[in-house]
Amino acid sequence: MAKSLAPKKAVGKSSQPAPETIELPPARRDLIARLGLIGLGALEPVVLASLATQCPLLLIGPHGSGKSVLLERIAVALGLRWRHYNAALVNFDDLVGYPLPDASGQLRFVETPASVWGAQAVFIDEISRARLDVQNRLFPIVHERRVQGIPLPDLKHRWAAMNPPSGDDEDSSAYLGSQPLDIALSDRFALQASMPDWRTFSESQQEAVIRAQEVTPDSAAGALWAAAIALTEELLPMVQAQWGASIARYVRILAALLAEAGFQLSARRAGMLAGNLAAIHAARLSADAEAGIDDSAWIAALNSMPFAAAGQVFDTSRLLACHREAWRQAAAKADDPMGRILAERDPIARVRLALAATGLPDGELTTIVTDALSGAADGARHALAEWLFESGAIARLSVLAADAVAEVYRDVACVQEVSEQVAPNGLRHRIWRTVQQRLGAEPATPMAERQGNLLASLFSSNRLSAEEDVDRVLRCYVQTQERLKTVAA
Amino acid sequence: MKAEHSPSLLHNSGYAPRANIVWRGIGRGPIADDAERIEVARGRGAWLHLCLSIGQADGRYHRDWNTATALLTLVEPDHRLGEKAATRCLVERIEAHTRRLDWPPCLLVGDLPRNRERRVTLDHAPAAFVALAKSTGSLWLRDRPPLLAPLHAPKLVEPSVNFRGVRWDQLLWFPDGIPNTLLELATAQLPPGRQRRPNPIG
Repeated sequence: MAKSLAPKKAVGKSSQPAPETIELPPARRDLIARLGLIGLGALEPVVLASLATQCPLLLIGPHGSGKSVLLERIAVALGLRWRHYNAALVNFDDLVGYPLPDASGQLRFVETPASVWGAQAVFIDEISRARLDVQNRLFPIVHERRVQGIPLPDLKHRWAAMNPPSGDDEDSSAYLGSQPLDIALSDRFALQASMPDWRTFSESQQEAVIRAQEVTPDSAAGALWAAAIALTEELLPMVQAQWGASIARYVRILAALLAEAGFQLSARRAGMLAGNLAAIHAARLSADAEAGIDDSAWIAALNSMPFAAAGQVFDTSRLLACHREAWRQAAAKADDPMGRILAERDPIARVRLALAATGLPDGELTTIVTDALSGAADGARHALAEWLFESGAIARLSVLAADAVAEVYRDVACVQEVSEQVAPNGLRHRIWRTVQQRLGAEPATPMAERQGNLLASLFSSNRLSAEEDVDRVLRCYVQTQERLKTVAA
Repeated sequence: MKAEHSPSLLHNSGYAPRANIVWRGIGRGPIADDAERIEVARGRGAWLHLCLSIGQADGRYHRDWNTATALLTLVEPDHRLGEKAATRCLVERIEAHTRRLDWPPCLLVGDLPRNRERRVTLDHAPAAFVALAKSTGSLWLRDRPPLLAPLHAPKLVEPSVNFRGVRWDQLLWFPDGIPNTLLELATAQLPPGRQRRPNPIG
């Protein structure tokens, strides 16, 4: 049965009539398609979350990807008083109007049709092309809904758009004028969404995009949007009450995993991510009561990262891996041994816990061991493989994982013969001399032989890229062996 | 043609001679013959090449090795079992021989074309079956149930002057040296007079 989505309150003051109450279809609402825009449906929960929470939204995409038209049509459909500024061209006078002394001699700004006073929504286009001084003046509008220190009480929605900032790679050379946002400014946009690339659309969608001028917005779109916003607002407190603790745990773990990958989230960004997740889930629930929180978490993570706008190269597949791992860990109960294992950040310690745990499925053990082998440094992973092999723990792993362990163990256990001609005093010659010095200092004990095998193997496979790598690898190998001995004890 | 390939022809070009790096492992020198190799394998990690060759002239030779009945004749020539019973018997024989061998729980499986220099070769049917039936990929596991599939596909040896037939091969790395029982078998397969050499590594 369709839900009545009558708005509980008006969505801002409008010069247009308030949207009517409307019955939403039970399945997909296609709110963005109803604005006459094709292929942007994935952005619906993100835009809806931004509208419901009034959090700043930044759209990033190439020219012609529909950023401006999307925001413009939403503003029109919702009947908002809105301003569209091109940050590359705007003057401060355009924003505030002209200052004139009033009867008491105080300066007041004379409003113009383009000034920001009284606006319910502000759309700052090409924000990445703004001069630094203009960015600084726009900052308080986005951050605190003020201009010149004067509050903008009517302002609810702050939107911006930009092309992908120019980077070092050749693909981004088309947007040389688009500069990375200052991280402080970027960090104020709670939601940062990348526009879908139309080349990934289906053939029919691509043709519809090409014919887009023939598509006009649905007359009921405004009412539908208003209803969806109202329902999202209504559902949000329930989502927060039900999922708040889990969301916080997920965000904490995700932030730690991203930090390991070299991407630091500020505490504010972590809070924004949690808020976005709840809002996006509420937005999705407003259309589909069966919407899964895990999918909402991924949508939130994907659209809450401040790195792309700041010009940092950020790999979505890495984010997906971190998200999956964080979600898995967050789902584990605190008293669950799996929870303890997954909460352990050190891969070697994690394997120790996993092997000691009773009742851990062998499939989980395999995953943990494989992760540890791929994540540990050379030397450390060799000591781990050696220990797994010689303790017999390898028999508990799947065939593929056991094979991977055996391949690493081969480097230390078997004599690795080296026969190579190198340039005298070249890098490889110097590295080899360092290897010889380290090995020459040792008597021919089994331990020294293994170290020799390890170094010879890494040398052969070009995994020693500098002389200092020799000591680093040996140190990792010996230290990890020592740590694993305590497990055996 | 790259200059570094023929430095002797370019002695006036100022081309610096290449430095040779050669490494055979700590305390390991070149090996002179099979007897020395067996002695070295006694105390240090070594590759054991387990093989089984059946020539076409051999009475146990079959055209099709894809049956347990045919394979069982290699370890029990006079059996008269059907396929099902032969499968069970072969698996039991492999397990029984595994228990007799004092091998470690896990061993590495090697690559035959490489490691040619230092391996000790042992032509012994039960040991070769144990080595093959409990191996997967890079790993031999003592407690793994035997799989007969690797035994069903011996390598066809190209016709040559000396030998025409099939061959099973497996290469295993024993990190603490090859067990004495196997070394005695390997020594026994050496030509007379070459069966004892002092241990060169002491």
